[in-house]
Amino acid sequence: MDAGNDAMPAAGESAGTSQTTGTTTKEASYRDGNYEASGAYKSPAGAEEINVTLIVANDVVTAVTIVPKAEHPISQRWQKVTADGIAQQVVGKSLDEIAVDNVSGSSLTPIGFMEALDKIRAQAQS
Amino acid sequence: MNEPHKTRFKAIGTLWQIDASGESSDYWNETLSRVHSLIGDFDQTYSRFRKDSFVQKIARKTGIVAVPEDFITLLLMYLPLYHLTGGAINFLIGRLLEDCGYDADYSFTERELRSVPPLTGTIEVVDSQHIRIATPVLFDFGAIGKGYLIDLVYELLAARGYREFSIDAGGDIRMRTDNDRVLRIGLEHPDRTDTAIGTVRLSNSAIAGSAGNRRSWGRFHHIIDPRTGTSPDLVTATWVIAASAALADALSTALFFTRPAVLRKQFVFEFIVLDKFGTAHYSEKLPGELFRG
Repeated sequence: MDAGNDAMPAAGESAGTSQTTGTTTKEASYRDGNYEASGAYKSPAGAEEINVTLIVANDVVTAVTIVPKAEHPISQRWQKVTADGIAQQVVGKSLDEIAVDNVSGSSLTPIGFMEALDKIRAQAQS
Repeated sequence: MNEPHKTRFKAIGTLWQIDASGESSDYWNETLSRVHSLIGDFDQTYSRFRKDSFVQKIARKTGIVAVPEDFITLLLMYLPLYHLTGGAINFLIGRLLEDCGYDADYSFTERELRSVPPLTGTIEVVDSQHIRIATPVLFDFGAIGKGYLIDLVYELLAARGYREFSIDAGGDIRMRTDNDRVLRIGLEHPDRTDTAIGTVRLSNSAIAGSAGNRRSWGRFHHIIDPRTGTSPDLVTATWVIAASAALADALSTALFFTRPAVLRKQFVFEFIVLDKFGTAHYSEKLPGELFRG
């Protein structure tokens, strides 16, 4: 992620991130420690800024604190979505690597998609 | 007799898949024909994409209007969501959606945007079969309608004696079991539909997902904020697991506008909110796993 990108920096990445303590654990993708970052992004209401603090232990984000700096009421609501629950950077895994019964997402999943799932399931059982 | 049945069909603009076990093929086919007429009746009543639908027929009316009983049920389901989201979930958004280009002809051409009236003062429930309309409005039940329809199909199958089944309407799913059976659901990546960002487990529960990616045009996707006439862009996809499909459907839309904690004051549900930075925010007891980036 480049500095100046209008995305929130993730833990362990360089842009605007400071790591205060750290140990490396086996196969961990994040080092333990406290991370702080500020991020800027553009909302329809204009440029916005937020401060983010993460605590990482054993490859799990154990605490997230987000301080929104937005002054626009609607943007505040959106930013605060990030302050609930657990936060984790995620990636897509190919559906043929995982066995699923159904798929949930945008509600126009085409028929071909479900048929492809059937084929995968059949292969997995043969 | 314990035959597995799997049926797929297209209806209300999406793909349905119903899996059920038990009873004979003949009984299943009879059940399916009832499912089809249930869905047909629902579409005829609630679809603003059909020019002959009930909501289109009453779109110019004011005063006291007779409506089906489940019309009132649906209206009342919106009320807590309307208040919790500060007016973002509003079934009076039909005209605005048309103005944005999301109309019966799928013109996807933006016109001058009309404002959405507040619920209070515009619609009044008179009794279980009548409402009073103050100014002409086009009802749109996009936030809850499909989930509610899944629940109606669920009730139909249960009343027909089925005990093990799942109903999937375009990725919104409700399942039932007496045997602790679990359905494993892939969470479709909003940008890459051949991948999933995680999986969750359904058992006697429902899931609904909402994403802005597939139905988008111009500066809009299919979720539009009635207060601003814009599509929310910080959240890219949401999923909710709840007891009913209607609730899961409603909350998955509400999460585009409102913090989970606000909605959790009133409703019990598990959630995943994916933001445009690729970070998933999810509830502590989510029954599933997300794939770490």
